[in-house]
Formats: sequence, C-alpha cells, structure tokens
Amino acid sequence: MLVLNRRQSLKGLSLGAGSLLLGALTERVMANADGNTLPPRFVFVLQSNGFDAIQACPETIPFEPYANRELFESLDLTEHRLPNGLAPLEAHKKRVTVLQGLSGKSTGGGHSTSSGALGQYRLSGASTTAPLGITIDYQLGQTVPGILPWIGVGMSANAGRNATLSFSARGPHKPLAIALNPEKAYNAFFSVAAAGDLNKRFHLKRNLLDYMVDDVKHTQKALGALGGVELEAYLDAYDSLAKRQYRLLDAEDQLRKSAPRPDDRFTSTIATRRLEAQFEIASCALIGGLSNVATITSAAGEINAQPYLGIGIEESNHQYGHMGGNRRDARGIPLYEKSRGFVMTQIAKMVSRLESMPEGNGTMMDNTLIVYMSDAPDTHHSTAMEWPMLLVGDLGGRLKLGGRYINYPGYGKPGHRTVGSFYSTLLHVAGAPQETFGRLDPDLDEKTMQTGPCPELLA
Amino acid sequence: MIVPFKRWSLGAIFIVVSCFVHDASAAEPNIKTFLKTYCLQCHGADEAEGEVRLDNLTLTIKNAHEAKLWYRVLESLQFNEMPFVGADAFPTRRESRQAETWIATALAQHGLQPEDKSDAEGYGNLVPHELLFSSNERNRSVDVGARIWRVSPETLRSKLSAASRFNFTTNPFDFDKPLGNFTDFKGKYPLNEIMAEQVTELAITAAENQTKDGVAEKAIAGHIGRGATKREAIEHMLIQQYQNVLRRTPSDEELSSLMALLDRIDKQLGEPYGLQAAYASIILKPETIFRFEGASAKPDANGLIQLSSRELAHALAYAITDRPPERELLATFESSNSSINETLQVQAERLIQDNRYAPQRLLQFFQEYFDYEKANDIFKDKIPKHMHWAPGLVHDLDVLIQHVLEKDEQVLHTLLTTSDMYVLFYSHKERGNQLTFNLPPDFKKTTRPVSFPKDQRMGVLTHPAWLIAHSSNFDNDPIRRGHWIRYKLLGGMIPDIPITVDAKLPDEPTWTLRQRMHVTRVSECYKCHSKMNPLGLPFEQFDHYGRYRFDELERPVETSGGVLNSGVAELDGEVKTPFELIERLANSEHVEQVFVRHVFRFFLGRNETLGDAKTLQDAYRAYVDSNGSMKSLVISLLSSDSFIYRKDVGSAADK
Repeated sequence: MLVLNRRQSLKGLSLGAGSLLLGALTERVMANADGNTLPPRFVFVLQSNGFDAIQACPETIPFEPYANRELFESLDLTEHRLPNGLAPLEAHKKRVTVLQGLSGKSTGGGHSTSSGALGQYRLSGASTTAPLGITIDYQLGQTVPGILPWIGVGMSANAGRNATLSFSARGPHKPLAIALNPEKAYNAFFSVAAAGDLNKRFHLKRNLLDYMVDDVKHTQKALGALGGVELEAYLDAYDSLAKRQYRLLDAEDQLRKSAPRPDDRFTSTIATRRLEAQFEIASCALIGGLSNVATITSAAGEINAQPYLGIGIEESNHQYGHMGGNRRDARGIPLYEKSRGFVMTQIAKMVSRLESMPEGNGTMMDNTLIVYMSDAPDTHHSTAMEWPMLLVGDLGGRLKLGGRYINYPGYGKPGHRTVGSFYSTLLHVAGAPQETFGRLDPDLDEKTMQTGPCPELLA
Repeated sequence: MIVPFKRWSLGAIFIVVSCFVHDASAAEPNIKTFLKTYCLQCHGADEAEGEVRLDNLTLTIKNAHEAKLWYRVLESLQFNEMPFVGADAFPTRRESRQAETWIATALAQHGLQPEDKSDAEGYGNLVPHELLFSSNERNRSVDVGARIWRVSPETLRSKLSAASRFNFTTNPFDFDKPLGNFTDFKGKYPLNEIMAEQVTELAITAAENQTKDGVAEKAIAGHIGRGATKREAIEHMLIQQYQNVLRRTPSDEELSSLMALLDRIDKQLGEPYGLQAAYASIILKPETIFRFEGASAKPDANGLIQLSSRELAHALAYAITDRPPERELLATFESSNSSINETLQVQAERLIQDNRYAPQRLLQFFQEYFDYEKANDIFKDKIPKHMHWAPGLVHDLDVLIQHVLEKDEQVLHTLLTTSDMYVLFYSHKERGNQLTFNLPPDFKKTTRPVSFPKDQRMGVLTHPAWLIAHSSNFDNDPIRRGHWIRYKLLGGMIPDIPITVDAKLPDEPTWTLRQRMHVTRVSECYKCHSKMNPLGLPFEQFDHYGRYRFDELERPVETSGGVLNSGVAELDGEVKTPFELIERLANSEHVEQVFVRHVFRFFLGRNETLGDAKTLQDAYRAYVDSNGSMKSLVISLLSSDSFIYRKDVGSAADK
C-alpha cells in the first residue's frame, strides 16, 4: 500500500540521515503518519489583470454588485456549474469555494498592488520592490516551515526575466525573489539531487558561498561603521544563501525522490509552457517537503505584455483588460476566461497530483489550501473595494470551505470583512494567531471588519 | 495615549531634521503669536477649515490628538502648503523655519521623532533653497559621512566582462521601473538575496568560461614553460584576475586565503573546480559590488576625510563614464604632483572631452531628469488617422538633447525653450512621428531640425516624448506634469498621497479633463493639488498623443494655469498658455539654481545638505560664467569639496 511505502521511505530516510534538520522534518512527518495533526500547506496563485466578481459567479446564481450586497450569504456551490473561467475545476468542485466581497482598500488597487496583494499595504509606486512589510505567504511559511520556509516560482511574458521581487517579502524592504525561469528554479532547488556536473556545481557554489560569508565578514570588520546597512545586507544575503545550500544538502535523498524531470517546458520560449513547468516544480516542492508554502505568479504585475500567446491570446493584458475587466464590456470576457482557465487547468493538475499522494488517513490535498487571486484585486483598473478569491481545499477540515459560494456584505456594510482579516484567519488555523494583518483601512471598523479570524470561515 | 498616535505617524511625515539642527539662526519663536498671525484666521473657532482647529492647541502637547495636529502644522509648513493661497498673511521663510524647529523639538521631547528622509531620493528639495544659496552658509564644511553604495548595472557588467567576455541577458543590478527620479542613488538599492544569487551565478559562469576548453591548463603550462612551478603559475593567474577585475594586487594574506580555497575544492571536486571558485570569489568581493568613499583615510583636524586617490579615480570614472577607471587614470591619480582639485579638474575635463562613454552619461542625466523614456511604457490605443510609436519620439528627444549638449551653451534655457526639434531623425517615417508633430503624412525626413512656431512647440516640456511620458493611457496627466515642474524646476515638494485617497477622476465622456479634475478642488485635496494642477493644465494645449490641438470635445481648448505659492515672487501668477509658463520658468535664476541641485544629486548620488552650500554656489557660478555650459557645471561639481571630502563616520554617527 502506498501509505506504507511513504512511511517506510521516511523511516528509512531518518535512519540514513544524521542531520538535525532532517531528523526534525522526518519526525514531524512520522508523527503525521502516526495520526497526529498534519501541518497545513498553502499555495498562493497570483494572476495579473484582475479577477472580476461577475466572472467568479456561476450563471445560475444571480449576481449582485458589491454595493447591493447587504447580508452574508453562503450557497451550495456543488448545485451550480462553475463559470467558464473556473470550469477546469469542475471535477474538484467539492473542494472549491468562491469567496466574494472581501475588500483590500489599504492597498490602493490599480493595475497591480504588487506585494500589497499578499501584504495588504499600499506601495509608493516609486518602487514596487520596496515592500512595507511581511507578506502572508512568507509569514505562513515561517509558521509551518519545510526544508525552506517558502518558495516562489512564476511566469513572465519575457523569457529573459529571471526573477521578480515585487510580490513576496519577509519584512519591510526585504523582498523575496520569485523565480521566473523554470530551469534556474530547478537548479536552485533540486540540483543537489542531480547527477554529474550539475551536482558538482552545486557543491562548488556551496563552498564559494561559505567563503564569501567569511570574506564579507572580514571586510565588514575592517570597515567598521562605514560598512553600514549595505554590507550588512550583502552579508545577510550570502548567509541566507549559504544556509539554504546546507538545508538542501541535508535533504538530498528526499529531494532526489521528488525532483521533477526537466523537459523542454523548462527552457521553452513560450510563456504558458514555462508556467506549466513552474506548477510542476511547486507541486514537487510540496510533495518533497521542500516547502509547505508556495507562491506561483502568472505574469503578475505585467500589463503591457502578451503572456498567453501560447494558448492563442494575442492581445496584451492591457488590451483585453480594456475590453473586459474594466468596463465589463463583453468582448474581453472570453479572453479572461481563456487565460484564467489555463491557470485553473494547472491548479486542477496540482490538485490531482496532491490527491494522489497519501498522507495520514487521506491525501496531501486534504491538508492543502490553494488561494487564487489577482494582484489587481477586482478589475483591470482595480479599486480593491472587493477582492474575489477562489479557494481549493479546507486544510483537513480546519476551515469550513469546499463546495461553497460565499458573499460577504459589500464594502463598509455591517458584517463586511477585509482581505487582511482573511489572512488573519489563515494564520489562526496555521497556529500563529494574529488579530490583524497588514495596514488597516481607516474607513472601516477595526474590530468587526478587520480583526480575524472570520468566524464564518472557521470549522 | 502615545501608541496609537505613533502608528498613525508612521510614514506620514518626512522632515529634513538636519536642517533644524543646523539652522543656528533659528531663535526661540513665539509659537502662539505665529499661530495667531498665520493660522487661526482659517483654523480658529470661526472657520475651522478642513475641520482643523488650532486655537485650543496647547504648547505642552498633552495628548495624541494634539500631537497629531502639531504634526500636521509641521508638515504643512515644511511642504509649503500653508498658509493657503488667499490667506491674509504669510510668514517669512525664517519665521516658518523657526516655527518648524520649535514644533520638531517639542515633539522630540515627547519621544516623537519625525521620520528623517533627508537621505532619501526624491526628498532633496526639503533642504531650504534660500539657505543653500545664501552667502552666510558658504563657510560650512561637508557634513556627509564616508559611505559605500552599490555599483550601477553598467559598472557590474564592465567588471564581469573584465574577467571574461560573455553576454548575460539580464543584469541583476538592473534598475527598477518605474524610473521616477534618479536611478543610481546611494541607499536606493540594498543588495538582496536574489541579486546576490544572480551575481554568484554570473561569477561562476565567468569562472567556468575562464577555465573551460583547456584555457586554464594552457595558461598554467605557459607559466611553467617560463620557469614557474604550477603553484606559482596559479598564483600568477589569480593576481592577474585581481588586476583585471579589481585593478589592484592582492595582499599576501588574500592570496594565501585564495590558495587555501582552491586546494580545498580541488581536493573535494577535482580540477579545475578549485580555480573556478578562486576566480569567482575575486569577482564577488565587496569591492566589485560596492563603491567605497572614505574607507581608508584618517580624518584631518576638521574631522574631514579626504578620499584616497584610488577612491577618487574610481568616483570620477563612475561619475563620468559609469564604468570603473582605466589603469591610466588610476596611475595619474597615484602619481600626480598637482593639488587634488586641480587633478580632478584636469581629469574630469579630459574624460568629458575624450571618453567615448561621457556623452551617453550626460544624456543619461537628462533622460532621468526629464524622465521621458517612460513614454515607452505608456500604452496607447490605436486610433484612426494616427500612428503612435513612442520609441521614435523618445529617440527624437535624445537627438535634440545631444545636439544641445554638443553646442553646450545655455543648456537648460535652450532645452526649455527651443522650437527646433528633430523629427524622423533616422527612419521612423513609417511609424508616424511626423503625425504626432502635426506635420503632413508625406513629410520628408531630414537630419536637420524642424523649426516650429514658438506658439506651437517650445522646448522639452512640449516635446511629445515628455508629454506622453507624463500622460496616462487615455488622457493627459496634468497632475504628474505639474508635479514634475514643481519638483524639478521650482524646487518644491508635495507630500506622498495619503492612503485614504481613492485617486480617480470621474469617468464622464462629455467633460474635458479640466472639468473632470474638479474633484481635486475640495479643500483637503487642493492644498496639494494647487501646487500641481495649475502648472500642468496649460499643457492641455496638446492631446494625450502629444499632438498640438485647437479644440477639445469640439470646444476651443482651455490652456490657462499659473504658478501658485512657489516662494519666488516673480514666478507666481497666472498664465494663459504653456508657452507663457515655460518662458517665465526658463528665464528664472531660481529655476536655474534648482537645476544645479538636480545635477548635483545625479553626479554625487545623494541629496545635497547645507554642508554643500559652497559647492552648489560655485557650481552655479561656473555654469553662469561659462554661458550655461553643462560641462563646466559638471567639472565644477566633480572637483568640489563635496566630491573630495567626507565627514568622519564616527562624528557623523554622533550627530
């Protein structure tokens, strides 16, 4: 039986590997295998260009603009066909929740809220890579760390772009890199488990990073106060990279088992093919215990770009944004549905993959929550008066989700809730409760609208 | 209740605290009288404009509400927002500064320090202009500490190429977009993990290139053939790598540390991995990544550190060529018998005249100053009978600026007022540049400038590239245009947009943009918008594609505007057209001095402080005396005390 195989392999691993870290990891998973509480996993999927509320609403549910929504309502989603853009998840509908009506005005909205989407604050606009605080994905990752606390992968329309620093952060002015090149992401996470030259390169880099940590420390000592924050940041960066190499080394065997097999998608010039590869990397990372939190971006923040040429959408995000999401002009909607549908297909594959991995008395998917949203909250020119989300999973029943269509009362109405309070809810179920998250919206009541957890979502 | 107040204050106010500390002339003001004279008319019991009342405010700051109000007063004075246009009385600059000092000190006594943004890019104008250009301030010495900062993307590329020539598609140090103000600025780009990882990968790739296909073995064999041992051969190659990348020889200690790394890795992984690691580690040394200023010398009796000749040669090369110094420049600085100012002057002049990268560097200043390259990022819809192709327009403006720089006379004035523009300079005819300039579709391309009537095009601010860069996807953007003029020409400041503002104009197709902008006229918005809108609205003379127009929505286009509250009497007042506004600005001494401040920031990579008063005044004088030569201005800045000296870090920290 598969369950036993997984357990056995983990037991075997713990005997073979001496490191404290792997020991702890194995212990945790063993405990899980023995029926103790399983750690939650989180996946955040950010797609650019807006997620219009009306496009999240099944045809058979009458759509009300947020301004008219007076009361909290929860409908049985399984009785309705998912709207076109979400259709690839039809087979998983029991796990799917459409969450409508949360607001995120403290981010300011716009074409992209950048790290404000996961951090709930408004960036100055002068620099999207200067976050104001920690983002929810990393904070959750710190709470339930795998070998690494977090991984970020994504797709850019530009094949030459290696990374984006604009969406996740571990603190103010500490952006995290989301790898946009699947080949480089593979090298960063899995080359320890590769063979031949790639593996030697991994060890060369490990040694070099160690050397650099010492070298920078030496310079820092010689310079004294002059080194300042610059050298501190440099040292910090090398220190963190060097530590990462050791964590990967410790988990070499485990990673070898779960590593993806790079194919031509990893180096494809077609953006959508690269996104497929990134979803695979993220799935493997979750399965291998590399991380319990993954952020996946699909052309996030990219407006004047054509990321979906590979699936036959020649219009730029901007072009079809102006034909759909913004003015609810019907011409753009099929393009939104197609591009979102493509991402949903990847999510559906990930769900199936995690469902095929036994864990505890069920599967890995049972302990996973996938959050799909846009970095432009509602429409192409977003207002953040509402921030529609699609959720898959219920974290082992800790959240009252799955097969639900939820409408929160519109902005400012009694019972209204913010995205920040939703993130507080996630922290609550991850075991690190925190009353509020991100910057507060001064126009909303703090206690009833912005403080988590949201009782309507808790089991 | 201080705690909630503190949370409110975060990021809400940015003050150049150092100005207060330095302004010794500030005497204890009678703050009560100040409020009564200048504030209570609108914010007293009778009016309470914007629901702000200051008549009951106590001097002891007894609660969070009061602290918040005092902050607002401080901010309003600092940003020159209050008293608002139309008030009966306005404080002098000196009175205002005294009041600001009093409030900042009183707040500090309650443990409430305003966030000091004096170092932050975009806040340079907070240093009072009249003090910077006052003869009383000339005797100050440089008060900016020794520093290190990250090198530019071009410098990194150049250093990596010095190790091994190869192309890399993305540069880890590439500057963020949107560009905003100046891209390369001390403190603007802390190095982060992703950059470190990318640089590490590049360094390893460079080292692999240096050792692959038997290149390294051949070099080693060559040294052995000349009588060296294998170890000596490798040492020699590492010294060469030091010379190529860092332009210096390693110390014995550095060399033995490298050899130890090499041995360790060769033992683990075999050859040539050890040599690769050693090569890569040289590339990754902090001196590759950072520029050092004032690291090695001891302070003199005045607490000033003179940059070493090696540091000065680097700083000069970075400033003029955006690349590390050539060996000859380093040697000249090491061996020069002239005074350091003289050496800098001569070498700066030589580099500006002869170095092939210098013209690009001067152009880069104007690209970032006028901030027009972002026109390329503004997406415009296709419309009938017009072709929009921003890169062609940006190129045309580049060409215009290059020509003005070649002539190098009255550079700012010419750029602001010239009506000679280059159109279709190379081969953009099919792209429709001529249509944007209101020229016929069959306009013949020419390498000569086209002379436009003075009431149709006048200088960069009426050039389509600038107009489009300061427009949105569907409209002109008078607010951004006004903001640019306020900050870059008038030397003013506008606070960051408050987070509660939903900055959107009504979507009303039958209204002109001017009408739609009426939403900004409510009092809580207009105190800031009055500093931008009237400066930007005259440019409604052009549509958002940059074309001159007579009508808007079938009515004659309205182009009136004005300069409000600039702090310079001869600049204030209404204007009927953009051309009237531009002429007034271009003829102003104040505007020219503000320009010099921006040139300073670009070439020194930091904001000016009062300690730079002499430098700025001398630079301005050099510009005026040379009939507005940009080169003379830059040479003056690059041989100034502000360039040569740093304050001792220890004493800076004490401050």
